[in-house]
Amino acid sequence: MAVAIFISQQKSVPLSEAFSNCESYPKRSDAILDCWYQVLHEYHNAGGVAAAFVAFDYLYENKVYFAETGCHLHAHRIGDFAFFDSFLIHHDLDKLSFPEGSQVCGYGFYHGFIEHLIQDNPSPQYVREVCDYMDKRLSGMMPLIRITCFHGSGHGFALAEVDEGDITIWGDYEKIINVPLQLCGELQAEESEISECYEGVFNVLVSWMETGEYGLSYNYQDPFWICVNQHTEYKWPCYYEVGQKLDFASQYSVKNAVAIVSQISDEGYDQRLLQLAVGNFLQSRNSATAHIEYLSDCFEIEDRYLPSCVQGLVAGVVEHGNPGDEQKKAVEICSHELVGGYIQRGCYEEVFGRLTKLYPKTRVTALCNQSLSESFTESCIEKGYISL
Amino acid sequence: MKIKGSSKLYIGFGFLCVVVMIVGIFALYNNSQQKSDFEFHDMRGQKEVEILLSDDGYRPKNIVIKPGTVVTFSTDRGTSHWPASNLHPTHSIYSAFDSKEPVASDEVWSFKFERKGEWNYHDHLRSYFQGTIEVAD
Repeated sequence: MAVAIFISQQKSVPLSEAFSNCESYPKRSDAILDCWYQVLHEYHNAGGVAAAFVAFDYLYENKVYFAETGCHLHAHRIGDFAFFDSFLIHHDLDKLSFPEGSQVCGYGFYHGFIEHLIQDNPSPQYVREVCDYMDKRLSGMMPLIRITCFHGSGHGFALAEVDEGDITIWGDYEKIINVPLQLCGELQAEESEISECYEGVFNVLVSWMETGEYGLSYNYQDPFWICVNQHTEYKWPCYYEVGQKLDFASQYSVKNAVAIVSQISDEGYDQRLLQLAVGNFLQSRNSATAHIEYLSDCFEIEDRYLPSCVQGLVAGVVEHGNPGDEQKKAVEICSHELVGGYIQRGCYEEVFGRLTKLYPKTRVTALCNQSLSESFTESCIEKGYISL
Repeated sequence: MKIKGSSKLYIGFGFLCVVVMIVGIFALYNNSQQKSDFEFHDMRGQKEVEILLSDDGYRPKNIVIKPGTVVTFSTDRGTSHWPASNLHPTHSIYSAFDSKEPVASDEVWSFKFERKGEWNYHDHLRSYFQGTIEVAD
């Protein structure tokens, strides 16, 4: 009897009905987002992470506002639920379920989960143990889990710092990130992993600047000002994270983003940063046609920025795309009539680079077999995923 | 020791019963956990209500109060707390319901609820601690 009740809680209510109570809220409001989160939370409690992601996928497919407001951040929330409702009960990662598919939306679930895990245990030794564990357990189906773990740890170190409640450090970004960056530097890990941790710290810092938390503010006239005088090892992580958050400074305009990044004197940074900025536009401007509209914009900027712009769009649609169907818009970009020659080759390089970070090789091969476009199939053959 | 065919059947059936019972108890436990997680405490008879943030979350977590009720938030976690309305991190749903800064572990923060509605809240410092305050007549 009890078993039947438990199972029925997961399966008996159609998703459309489960979310119907939220329809009373304004269609594009924080209130409706909050309501959707409560339903996701109920699904998590009834059926775990997998059930929450089934509901998450439903929202992404059926509620435009959910998809447009940043699936990465929404996935963070499921990480919150898993941490509180599962980890804090068992205190044992072995007892937690990390199902395939939970890495969608740029591994947002893991950012959310790990940031709390490390916020509560801000020790480099513990980070190393957790990331080794995650790597061993999950890397077979989530190729980027190890590096994601180090990134989430950077978030956790930063959260732990402000957790202390010392408001004398508020408003002084250097004081806020000083200890978190030091802790990242103490990790017994690869250079790239430590750098990922630094990125995690700057990621949180820039978010706080955007939302005005902890006395911080965002400099719209000179978004990269905090990066200019950073130590060498912190420099790129800083630029990388600020580059991902040029939405408001550039007003979601490719031309404006070019104007901002072209001011940067560090060699080669401008193109990489444009790629990041454009990719991130699609996190919160993720309509059915936004990627094609932005593609047209890419062809109206200086030629030297064109490949970065196109590849940024690919990164954006994969990172923030329809869970489980991320390749669709990416292939639409690369096979578009405007895209050819070396731009197309670079475009597909980005597609395969992104997909192989999200999924195991077998899944990428299966996607290749979908024959989404002639040029995509040719690239699949060239890359050795399928043969003639 | 050898086990005869019919004994095997009985043992197998017994084992199956035990498994079903264990799964049932687990499911029931899960169900009761879930119920307590979403259960609302009707506190409309009180003009002042206290909510304590412990290591296992807010207690009581979900409450119903009348408009004009003062809710006082405290913690026994030994670290600062920061009650605020959803969404995290902007607290836009009910922006006045926000302590605006960390509250020391030995201090409390009170808020008088005037607006009717169902207000989800969280601890801004540890956003996984969440609850709901329904304000209704």
